[in-house]
Amino acid sequence: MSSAFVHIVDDDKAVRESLGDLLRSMNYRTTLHGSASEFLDVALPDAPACLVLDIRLPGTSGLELQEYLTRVNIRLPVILITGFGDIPMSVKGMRAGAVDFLTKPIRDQDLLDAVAAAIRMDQHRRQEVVQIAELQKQYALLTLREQQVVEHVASGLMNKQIAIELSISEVTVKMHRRSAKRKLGAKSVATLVRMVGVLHAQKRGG
Amino acid sequence: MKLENETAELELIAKAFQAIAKEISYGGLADALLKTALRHSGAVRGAVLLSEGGELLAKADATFPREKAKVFASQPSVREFQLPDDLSERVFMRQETVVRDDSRKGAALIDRAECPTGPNVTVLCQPLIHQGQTVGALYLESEAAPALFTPRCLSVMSMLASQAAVSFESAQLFEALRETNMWMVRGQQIGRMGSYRWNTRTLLSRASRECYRIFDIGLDINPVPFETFRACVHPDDLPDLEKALAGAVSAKSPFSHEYRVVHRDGTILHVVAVGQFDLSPAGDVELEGIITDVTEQKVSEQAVADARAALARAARLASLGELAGSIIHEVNQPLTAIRASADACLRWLAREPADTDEARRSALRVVEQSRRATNVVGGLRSLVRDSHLRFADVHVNETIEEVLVLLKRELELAGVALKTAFDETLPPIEADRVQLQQVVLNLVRNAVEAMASVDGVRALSISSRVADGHVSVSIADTGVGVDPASAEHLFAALYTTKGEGLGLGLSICRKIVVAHGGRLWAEKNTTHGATFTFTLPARQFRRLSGSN
Repeated sequence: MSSAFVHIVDDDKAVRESLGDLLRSMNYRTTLHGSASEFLDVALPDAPACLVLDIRLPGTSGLELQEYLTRVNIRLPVILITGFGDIPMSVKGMRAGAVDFLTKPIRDQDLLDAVAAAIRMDQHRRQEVVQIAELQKQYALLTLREQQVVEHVASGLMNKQIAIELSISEVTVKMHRRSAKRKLGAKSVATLVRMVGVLHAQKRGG
Repeated sequence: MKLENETAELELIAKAFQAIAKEISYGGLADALLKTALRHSGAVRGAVLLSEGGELLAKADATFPREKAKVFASQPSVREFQLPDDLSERVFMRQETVVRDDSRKGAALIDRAECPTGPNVTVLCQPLIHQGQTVGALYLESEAAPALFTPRCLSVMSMLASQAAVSFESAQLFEALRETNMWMVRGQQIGRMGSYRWNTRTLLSRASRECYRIFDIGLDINPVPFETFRACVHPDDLPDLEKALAGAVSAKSPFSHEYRVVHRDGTILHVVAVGQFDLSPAGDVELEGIITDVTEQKVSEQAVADARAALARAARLASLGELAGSIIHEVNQPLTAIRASADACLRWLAREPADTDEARRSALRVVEQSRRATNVVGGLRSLVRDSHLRFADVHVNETIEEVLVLLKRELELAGVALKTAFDETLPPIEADRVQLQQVVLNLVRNAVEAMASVDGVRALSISSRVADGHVSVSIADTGVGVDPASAEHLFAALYTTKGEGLGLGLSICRKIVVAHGGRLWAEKNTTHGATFTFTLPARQFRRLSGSN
């Protein structure tokens, strides 16, 4: 049994229940909500998930909810479901980063494909988050000198250059490099460089 | 000697008459008169004064001509001309010819500042009289002995004066005529209105300048042959115009017709021609009238009509759109639930082992939601049931023509040429006139829209006929045509091949026709375009309202 969650927000009880029914038959766990605020009231489980969101909702609309989630950095993949004549809204939703949009009535295969893709995205994102956290933890274990050496390696300097830069001997540089690689679990210089890249990207991305 | 003198005098007078008669302007006339008079009399100075409007000039001076009197010529030209009051009184009021010796003080022309003293001058002042009115005066001064103005000379002067008076009167008439004519030409220009006279026997027309502008015909063509006129008329409007002309000619009734004129550069003008019949001096029947260029009015009228049509269309679409949108939503919701639940049901059953409890729950939801959908459709059906048909005797041709009047501008704008072929023997049928017009309106609009993207000929033909107890009406266009395979889909609600619109038009048309006991179908034309035909029973059984 998959532990992935599909959150369904649709104001029509029959629609959200039947969609929930269908997704449960596909082995997803589901939560059903009649409005944007109902959805925001409950805590999200710590598991791969996606949101199936009706674009037209009374009160806060689907698009507004999608915007809000982006703003507060809840990176939940969104699948929009639309009725007749909602094409312009769907386009807006897609531009705002929705994974897909499905037109009512919905073909089960379309829903399955969309949800599978969304969950995969979420899993991938979650994995990345975990990896980065791990990496950050390991990086924190490096001594200041080791971090300096690693930064210089990542920026492409030769050992000799790093030695001059840090006013230490080349032998010492090599020693710090070996130690840093071991602590970070990097088997090659290439991996080391990539790790530093990820950490930098993470810092920049906030 | 005396005889010789007389001959010379007569010759001179004849020449003078010729010279005077040739002149048609006041200035020229006055000049000719004065020159002749000076030459003949031997006077040294002279002037011609003219009064206008029959009122006499009390005083006239060259520097400040009064409105009523002007010095048109004086020789030599002087800065100031002042007729002594007593002389003016005698000549103008009493119409006397005055000859008198005068001190320089009493002279009108002499420059008193230059020659304050000197011998006396002799003055001749001769009124110019026409039909009892003094129209001016001839004034001469001589420094010779008084014998210069002999009785003979005076009689010649008198003859010259009377001839001149006649000529002055003609000049005045000519002037007035020219002014009137100028007013007319300007007036016609400003009013964009030309007058014409068309001889129905010779088929030649004479027309004012403005007509030439309106029709873009060269001014050298005069009179205008009918063929030249015909060539200016928009080809689409020609048949109707000729019909209207022929009708008016045969009935001798006042004529009024609106048509379009095409210029050589392609400019199109809208004109209104009105006229009435009259006999020419030669006894021919002539149509006399006025043609007005109404293009500008037409353009603004068109703009208003366009705006109104666009508004009506937008409103219609908006209300239809809202209606259709909510209908679709109402049907789509249960449909979505049904589809999802049915899929779920199958998936529960496909499990190993099958989860029958879940499957049952899903199946129940399908049933529940299909009931919901049925209710929605049921509600709609009562909404569109043909319970509002009002049957009455209807003349199909007339009914169509009324719609065409409404659509005239729309067709014109879309560049669609309309051809109608109505069977005049159609019996009246029992139908709902308004609904029937709705059908025709829809079908014609569809035809126009189908031709919108076509570059070639845009022709719409509407015909009616009766056969097998049915009246049938066909509306054929030269548009994009219909795919025979999907011809039937056209009549399904919400089916549309157009970018805009909701596809309700044809389904409503068919509904109305069927409610009348008739049929509506579409066919592809052999060449291009499509034909929509509907039939209605010639003898309609009266239906009871809401008997469906």
